[in-house]
Amino acid sequence: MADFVAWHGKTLDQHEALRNEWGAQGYRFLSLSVYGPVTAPIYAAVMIRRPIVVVQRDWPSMTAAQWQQTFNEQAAQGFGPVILAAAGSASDPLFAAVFQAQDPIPLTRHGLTSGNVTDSGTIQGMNNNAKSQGLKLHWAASYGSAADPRFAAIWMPNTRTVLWNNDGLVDDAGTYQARFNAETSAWCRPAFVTLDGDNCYMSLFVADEIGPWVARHNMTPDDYQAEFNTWTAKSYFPICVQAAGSSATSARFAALFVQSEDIVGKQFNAIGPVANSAIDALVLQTMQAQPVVRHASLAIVNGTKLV
Amino acid sequence: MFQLIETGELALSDTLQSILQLKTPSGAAPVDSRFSSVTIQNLLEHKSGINTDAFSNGVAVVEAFTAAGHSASLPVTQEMTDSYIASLPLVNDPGSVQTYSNCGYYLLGRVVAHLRGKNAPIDAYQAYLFDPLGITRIRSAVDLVSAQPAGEARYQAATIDSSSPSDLQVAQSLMTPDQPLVASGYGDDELAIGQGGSGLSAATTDLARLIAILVDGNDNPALKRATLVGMLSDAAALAATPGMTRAGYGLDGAENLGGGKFYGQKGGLIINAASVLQFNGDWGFALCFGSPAQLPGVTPVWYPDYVPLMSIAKSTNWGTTDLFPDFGMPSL
Repeated sequence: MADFVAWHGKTLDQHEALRNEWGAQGYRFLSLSVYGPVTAPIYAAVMIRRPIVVVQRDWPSMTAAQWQQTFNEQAAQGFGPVILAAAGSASDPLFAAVFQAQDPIPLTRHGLTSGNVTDSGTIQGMNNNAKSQGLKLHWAASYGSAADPRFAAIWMPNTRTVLWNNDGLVDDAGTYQARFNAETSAWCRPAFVTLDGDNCYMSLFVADEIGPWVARHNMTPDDYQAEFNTWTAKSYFPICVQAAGSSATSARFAALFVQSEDIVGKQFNAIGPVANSAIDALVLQTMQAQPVVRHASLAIVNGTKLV
Repeated sequence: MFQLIETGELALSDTLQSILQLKTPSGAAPVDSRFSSVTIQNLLEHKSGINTDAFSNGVAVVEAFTAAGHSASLPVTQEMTDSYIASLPLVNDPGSVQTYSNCGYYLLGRVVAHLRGKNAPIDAYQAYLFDPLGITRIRSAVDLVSAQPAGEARYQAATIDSSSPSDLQVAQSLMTPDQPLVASGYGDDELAIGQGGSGLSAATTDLARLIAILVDGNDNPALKRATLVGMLSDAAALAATPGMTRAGYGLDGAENLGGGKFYGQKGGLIINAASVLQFNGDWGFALCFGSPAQLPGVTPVWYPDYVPLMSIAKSTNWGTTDLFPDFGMPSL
């Protein structure tokens, strides 16, 4: 089972104290969420201790200007964001972020609105740009309100060329459940989910496998704690815990629990009555060039014979 | 279609309306008077002038029936869709413009079903084409995930072009009145009723059986060679006509190679799958992908000639074994 610690409902001072305590023991952020009023932010976090401990730098409370300045400074030092959280209104947001050494620095934006896919000022437009650059949504923040939503996001190279979908941006709890049902019915899984202060959900679904997983949303803090207790007792750990709301007690949570962080790798299996290594190699080459293709079938005819 | 022509039960010049006698949801004659002059040949050549894709819209079909005073709800039937098509104005004069038409082939399927006395095209195909050829693994498409046959392959929606910019899309179902979100390809289209177009699901081995009868120089249990030569010659002639983008007659591309040999290909592309059938002289292949593959450097991207594959196939000594019997189909 993963070696992790997690907390929620913590003030800035409490959060920083916990981060310092566990960070000194080699734990690093796996998930981070900021919620509540921007004048008195509340934190939910998961830190994990992995065999290889990397350097992380985190800033738990930044204005938009401070966030941009921090990003610029860290990027100049070769550090890019791996986690980005936000709370507050469209005009007065609060950001929290975690950086790691990265090359290249991830494509990162904040203050995005919802709108046309051709507009790079929208989350849809940036998702489209990212996809065209071979990137995949890695982490995102949803803030503002349902009537005036804003988004911040990090896109990273889609090294596994996995299909991904971020069409769910401000789903109410019921719509998100319907989206979840549709996506998971077609063998996808939620890889990330967050929410804004109006309990509207932003989701990322992917077409890969990570082993057993459990997703929960629209939870009170007590609901989340109960789910946390249930699933951690079964060797799951929270890979994504996000919260939003005006206070620690009124907040709503979404969480994803897994038993492993490792993505199950693809394998090429060729089956059929006749083995032809040259054709198998060509089909493999074709499928690797078009990695969205999970399976293919081929039949060849010569004259009246199936060969 | 060409079985019926072979037996004299159908002619290319027959009109669609003389066979189906379609009426609008309100029971009236088709709204466009030109509808009555659409011929079977027009449909086969994508020249009917009928709106190519508007028919595949269950919500609009239900609305049309409701507006006509009927109690209607999703999912729609083939019969409802037929009537809805009769309520649509034509886009062009029949025979004047070639525009790839899913609706045209949907209607051809309905013609076959009607003339064979079957409720659905798939029943006619099974009785008159698949059974004589020993084909058992071509069936009607099934829309909902929950209704898929055991062991069915998994399909996931992926970006094809700018008209569908999002991978793994979900959309509202057309299969139930409450229209819940479904994964695209699993109920947001109407594949099962479109059996003359995109509504069939096939094993590649059984699809290859259809290639074999197109390659075969002799009569086969389903069709006489002369009939097939006539069909392929018409397709090749149309494909060679300036301004034509499709061969028609069930094919996207066609060429008369001489000596009774033909080239032909047909691609299929939906939001979560792609397939191609091709024959070239004595060789052919069927290839199906579980997502809308776009092969690099090939145009059109989803139904390539796949020259590297055929080069390997032609240079391989396959021996004398015919694998059709291994899949339950006797040698031709």
